[in-house]
Amino acid sequence: MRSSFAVFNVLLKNSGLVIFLTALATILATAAFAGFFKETPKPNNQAIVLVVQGLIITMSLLLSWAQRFGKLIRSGFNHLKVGFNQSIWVSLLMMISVFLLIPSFTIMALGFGTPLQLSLVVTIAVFCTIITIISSIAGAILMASTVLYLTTELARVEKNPGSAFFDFLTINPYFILAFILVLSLIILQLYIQTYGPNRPRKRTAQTESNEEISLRLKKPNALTSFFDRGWIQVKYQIGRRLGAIRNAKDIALLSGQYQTIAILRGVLLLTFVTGLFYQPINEIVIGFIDGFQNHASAVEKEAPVNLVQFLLVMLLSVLASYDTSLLTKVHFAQRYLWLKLPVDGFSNFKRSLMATVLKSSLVEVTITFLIFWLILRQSSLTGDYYWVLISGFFAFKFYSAFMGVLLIRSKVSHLIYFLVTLGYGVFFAAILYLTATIEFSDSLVLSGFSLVMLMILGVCIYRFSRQSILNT
Amino acid sequence: MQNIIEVTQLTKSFKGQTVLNDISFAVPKGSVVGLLGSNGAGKTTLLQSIIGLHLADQGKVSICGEYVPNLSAATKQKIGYVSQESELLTWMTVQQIIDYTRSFYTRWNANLVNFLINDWALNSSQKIHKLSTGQRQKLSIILAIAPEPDLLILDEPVASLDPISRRKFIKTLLELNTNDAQTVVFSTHITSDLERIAAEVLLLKDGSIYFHGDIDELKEKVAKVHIVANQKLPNQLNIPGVINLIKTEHQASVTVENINDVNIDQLSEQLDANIRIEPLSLDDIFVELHS
Repeated sequence: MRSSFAVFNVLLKNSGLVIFLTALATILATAAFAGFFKETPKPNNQAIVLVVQGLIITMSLLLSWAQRFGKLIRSGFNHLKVGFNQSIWVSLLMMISVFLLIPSFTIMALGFGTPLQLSLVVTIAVFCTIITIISSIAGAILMASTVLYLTTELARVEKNPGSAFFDFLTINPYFILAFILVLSLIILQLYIQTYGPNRPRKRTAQTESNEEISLRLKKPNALTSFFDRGWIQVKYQIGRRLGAIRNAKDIALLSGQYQTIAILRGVLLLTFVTGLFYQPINEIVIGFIDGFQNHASAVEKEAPVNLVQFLLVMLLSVLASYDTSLLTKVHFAQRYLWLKLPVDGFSNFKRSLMATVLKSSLVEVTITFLIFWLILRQSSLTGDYYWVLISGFFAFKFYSAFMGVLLIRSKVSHLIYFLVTLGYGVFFAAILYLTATIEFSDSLVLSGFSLVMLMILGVCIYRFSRQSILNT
Repeated sequence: MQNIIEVTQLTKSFKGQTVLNDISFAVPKGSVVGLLGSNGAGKTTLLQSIIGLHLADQGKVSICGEYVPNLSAATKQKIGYVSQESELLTWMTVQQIIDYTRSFYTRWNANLVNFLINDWALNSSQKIHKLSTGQRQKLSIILAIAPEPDLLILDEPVASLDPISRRKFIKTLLELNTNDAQTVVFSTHITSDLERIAAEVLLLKDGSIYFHGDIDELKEKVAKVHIVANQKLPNQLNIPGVINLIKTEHQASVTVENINDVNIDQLSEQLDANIRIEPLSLDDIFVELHS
């Protein structure tokens, strides 16, 4: 079985030279990108987008290596693998390279770097790494929050000439630095106590595969998320009481769906429905959309507007993408229900199951479109932007559904992963282009960068969700 | 006796690698067949092909006279299956999955379920994802036998169970089979369990059937011949059906496929040697075949 982070594993399996070249290329690309914007004085948006993107790529790399490191450490088997120590050191080295070099280059290229700022960024990165090793979700949330905060800080600096990074912090940065360091050490100590050398480990293991991920867990746990299981249970209970879940096929198909995306969509629905009746929420929603309506004046607005634009782009992508777990779960449901479902013949069985899948898909498209439409309606968006987004929604929904079908049918899954992430990248970059006040030539650079970033993230996410679901 | 399973020239490959190669056999109704083979011999693929989870590349499989995978609902109701890695809806509680599974079947032995839940110390209100591997396996077995299927197919059912649970499971299986109404096909690595339950064994080796028949018949055929010669043994021993051979200058231990094909007196005279025949247990036979 391949790792969730296949891209990085492939790199790791190859020689140290490849690892070195990859790290070097990433750093040079980030530095060149930063330099490009530094040499091209433009409104603040570009610098903000740059920092966000630079840090997101850092986050994606960091998450991957930290996850890998965590998996290697936590397993009771991996230490038996030849080259275990080497894998550990390479993972650590890559983490250090990523969190030291990329943020430093980005900030220095923009001309904001001071020893204190860099130390704080690095310390935060160390803390995020430690948290990520323990829980990738917690690490991702923490890193995302940091990215958002740093962007706001940068915007403030841009807006107030003569001010420096972290000037707006009400707490002494050195105190924060010390606090984070101490907290990191405590958490690391607890972690080492739990998974460190004192932990009883197996001395022998029989396996035909020496791939570390095969050794990682005897039985890969599928829906490990508390939210996933809890949400399915809630849906099951409510669905049964309301009569919405009427047959066994619904339940079997429900079982493998990756629920986190559904929860996120539920929160969006709740937010925007509340916005219809509650003015303060409505104002936030309008703030979200501000960038669409006021391109020329976006620079003049408060910095968070740019952040929320970025958030909005992500939210729209979440809604517009098709929930492929509906399709990947068909394989499981097919196996699970085959002997149980009282249907004559193989064709009838497949037909019956596919009818349920189509029904679920229709519900998925309808609900997500309603939320999408609700957002656009509250934004009072009109004209070309409105229709571009509406048609973009359906185009991307169709595209991702089609790719989802290919994903479960195709033998060349790597190509499909690539196409899926390519689609995500194009969609993401297109919306970003609409929201950002930038020239067309800049948008090309941004799109390319977004594409690479999303390709990496997309492959990771898709592989992760697919493997999880197939092994439920 | 009527056959409940008929497999004819079954071939199955994955990514160009042949896992099952031209397999043919039949399982009479009411029999208990143990499927034995090393890792990768094709046991799981064979069991899954029988019930239609894999479609055959070539050949045919029929259950109760119906060709797989075009089984009728009535026939599917007669089949119970436990996979190697329990496939359960992990977000449910034990009771929820019992109720859910029960809704599929017209026949359901609730007393047996309650008895086994207590006997195997499972908690009905426990969430499945919190159960251990062994407990999940127990639950899978309970769900498979509760509808009292005519054909029970078990893929390494006891692999995750502790010795006490294994014995309890075997006892339950024997009780279910007492009136010969139920046919059981199960794969295992634990030959002692197989000898305890099954009368018939189907031995798979490299995707083909090496032996299919009574366990006693297999044990009577395969034996080890110990040779102690007064003179130097020749390079080639003229013994038919050699499975395994360990030879020194004056001594040799030869495991043979069928001891009845070996003329012991003639061999003794030919080699000027003392010959002793050692009967082998099923476990020994398995080891000899794969060593």
